[in-house]
Amino acid sequence: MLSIVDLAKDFGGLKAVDGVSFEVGQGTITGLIGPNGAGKTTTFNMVAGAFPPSGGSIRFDGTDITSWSAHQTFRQGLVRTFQIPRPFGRMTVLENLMMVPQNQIGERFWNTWLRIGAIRAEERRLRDKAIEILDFLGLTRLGEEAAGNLSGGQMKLLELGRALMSDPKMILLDEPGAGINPTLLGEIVDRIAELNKRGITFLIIEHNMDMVMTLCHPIIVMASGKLLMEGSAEEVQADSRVLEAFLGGATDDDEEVPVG
Amino acid sequence: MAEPMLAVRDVEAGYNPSLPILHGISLEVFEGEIVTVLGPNGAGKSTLIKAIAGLLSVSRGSVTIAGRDITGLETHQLIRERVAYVPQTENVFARLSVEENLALGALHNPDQFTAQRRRVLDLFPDLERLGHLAAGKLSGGQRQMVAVGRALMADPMLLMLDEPSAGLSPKLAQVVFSQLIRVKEVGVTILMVEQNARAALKISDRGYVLAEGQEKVHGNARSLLDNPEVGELYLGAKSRLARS
Amino acid sequence: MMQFVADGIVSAALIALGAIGISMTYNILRFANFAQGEILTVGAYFALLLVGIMGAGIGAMGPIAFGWPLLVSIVFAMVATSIVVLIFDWLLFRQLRNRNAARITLIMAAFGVSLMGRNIVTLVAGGEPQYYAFFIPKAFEILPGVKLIPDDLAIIAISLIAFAALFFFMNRTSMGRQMRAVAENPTLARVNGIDVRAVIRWTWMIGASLATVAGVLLAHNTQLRPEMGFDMLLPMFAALILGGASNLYGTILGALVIGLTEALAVSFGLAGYRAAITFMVMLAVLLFRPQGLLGEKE
Repeated sequence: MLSIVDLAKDFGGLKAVDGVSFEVGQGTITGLIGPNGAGKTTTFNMVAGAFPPSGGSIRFDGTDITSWSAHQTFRQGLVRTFQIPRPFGRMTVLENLMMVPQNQIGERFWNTWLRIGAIRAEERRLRDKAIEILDFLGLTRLGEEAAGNLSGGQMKLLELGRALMSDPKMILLDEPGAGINPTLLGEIVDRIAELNKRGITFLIIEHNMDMVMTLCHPIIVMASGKLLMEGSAEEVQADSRVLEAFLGGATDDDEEVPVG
Repeated sequence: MAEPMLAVRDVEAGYNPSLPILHGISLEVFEGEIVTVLGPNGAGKSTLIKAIAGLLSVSRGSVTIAGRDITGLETHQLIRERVAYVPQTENVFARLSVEENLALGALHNPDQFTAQRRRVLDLFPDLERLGHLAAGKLSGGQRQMVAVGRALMADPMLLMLDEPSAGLSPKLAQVVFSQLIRVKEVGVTILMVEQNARAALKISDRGYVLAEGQEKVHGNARSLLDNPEVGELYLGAKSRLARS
Repeated sequence: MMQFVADGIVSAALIALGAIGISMTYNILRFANFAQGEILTVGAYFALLLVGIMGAGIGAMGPIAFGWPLLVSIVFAMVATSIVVLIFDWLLFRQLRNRNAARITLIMAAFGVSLMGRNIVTLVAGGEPQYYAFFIPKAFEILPGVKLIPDDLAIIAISLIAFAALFFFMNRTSMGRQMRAVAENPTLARVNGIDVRAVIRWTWMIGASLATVAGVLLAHNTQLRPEMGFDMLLPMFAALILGGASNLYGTILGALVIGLTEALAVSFGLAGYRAAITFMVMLAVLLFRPQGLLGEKE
């Protein structure tokens, strides 16, 4: 589904990502882990279209998306969530969701005067869809609540909902477990698993190892800007190089390693 | 057993009083030791040091230095207790020169300025020729020296460092760690937080491994590296593999 | 033709003295103090009070229209104004800081203080223009075509002394270093053992003292009115922004540009357009250097 070949990113002499290649198979929940400075967030951001790579290529569902920006990948069915969700705080939860799909009829100035009926129908459709997603996420009663009033965990679920509104083929999850209490974490894990059953592919960056080991297969491990290994949870945990990388094992690079 | 220099007892702390990140942590640092605090991302290591430094509120528990209770003291009062802290980022006054940074370090012991400056320059001879440059214009490794030098000017009993090797190449990190050994040799007790577990434990006497805001394992530095529990804390327990 | 240079420099000196306080509050307390004009005004009126008791023209020094009573009054006024300013910080701004008020809230509070200040001065001292002394000194030519009164030279001299003292303080004393440290990195300053509250007090005192000098000299040069400081607010902020808010040298340079611009406008008979021209110059500089002449890029 997603194929990365020789991806690289140079930040003025700092090689944050140094020739990384891997594939995310369709229908998988693939994990991307690594110590701080491994380059996983940079890789993730390039796939998500936040900034273009310095080298290499990215293919999604057969299309080359290497220099595409986020709104372009969005249209192709590749969406991302953010580690720190920033919903439109003063709008309701439902409004936040209904805003997602692109090219709504109601966005065009003259249409609001001339195509009232069509707009109303579209709004109804979007609202129904948003409510359905809220039901799935267990947030039904929060529909009319201002998004800024939600708890951290609820905002994360809303983030997931936002991604779902566009009927994506693949979702890039940016640290879904960060700052979440264990109960809510379990719920998020269940939702992701359920969505995966319904056919959505996931690539997840995560530091919470319990979550990664339970949910993800395969797991890709990066360190120092390169791919270290790829495998199942057991294989990753058993590979001594992985623990070495996390414990700050020696690499022989002389360049400054960016933090984070 | 002697009184610990630093005793953290059952501390609960966080950025927000209603959302503690540390859930009852205890640790001790004895005089003359280098103790490292490790743990995976999000474990609360940085939070712990910030709590000791008074930058976060401690909702429960206590922190004592040489028997004196310093819990809840304001950050700027810590220097008088001879506790110095080097943050991970923004740890020098970038627009001030190296010499001015060092001068500020000796704010509360100006009569010792000359002696302490001599000691810092003996530890970091490079700083002498960099004296009049703005600290912000130095390289990462040089800045780290200024940061630690500034802290040492106060003649602290305890030096706390948050990830001293962060952002540095492995080679430079080694330089920093060997400098810390020499700091220990001049009689300063060191508590540090580190991601670079292996390298840090090599120069430490003891270590504590944190995860999820709690202290999980501690002991002699050498033995920690071979302890399989540590591996589990970093990579998740092997038994939890149920995949639906 | 070159007269405007002379007038501009005198003007610039006063703007700079007032703007430095704004710069310091901006960098250390992190908000734009829109009440700075009133600090000038209050300073000038405090001096009026003391001068009234002592008599301004008595003991006039040589060709200068004021005498030692005015100078002594400046000193007392600096102390009185500093006390007033510290009280306002304690009553108002500190409370807002402790409640983590948004920057805009602090600015609005400053506006409120400004309004209050002007009206209290009017209430207490009356709205009519007042003067320290009625002796009009004789102008003399220092260069062909450039006339100055001796008082202008005194203003320039006093300002230069004030700037020199300030720079000595900021660069060579411990408290000066502490202030620069807090301006740059308040958290690290606390870690370093700096009592930020003490630094804040000094910031207010120095800013208020310099503003008092500016206010008295301005009042001596023109007249005392309740709006006198408020009228200076725009040029002072323009000087700050144009020069680069993070830099005291920049503020002084900015004041020079603004002072000269205003004087130039007046020399062309465009006195009424002074403010507009000032702002156009400021905008022009910002277009090419958004961080100000000596400011640092974010």
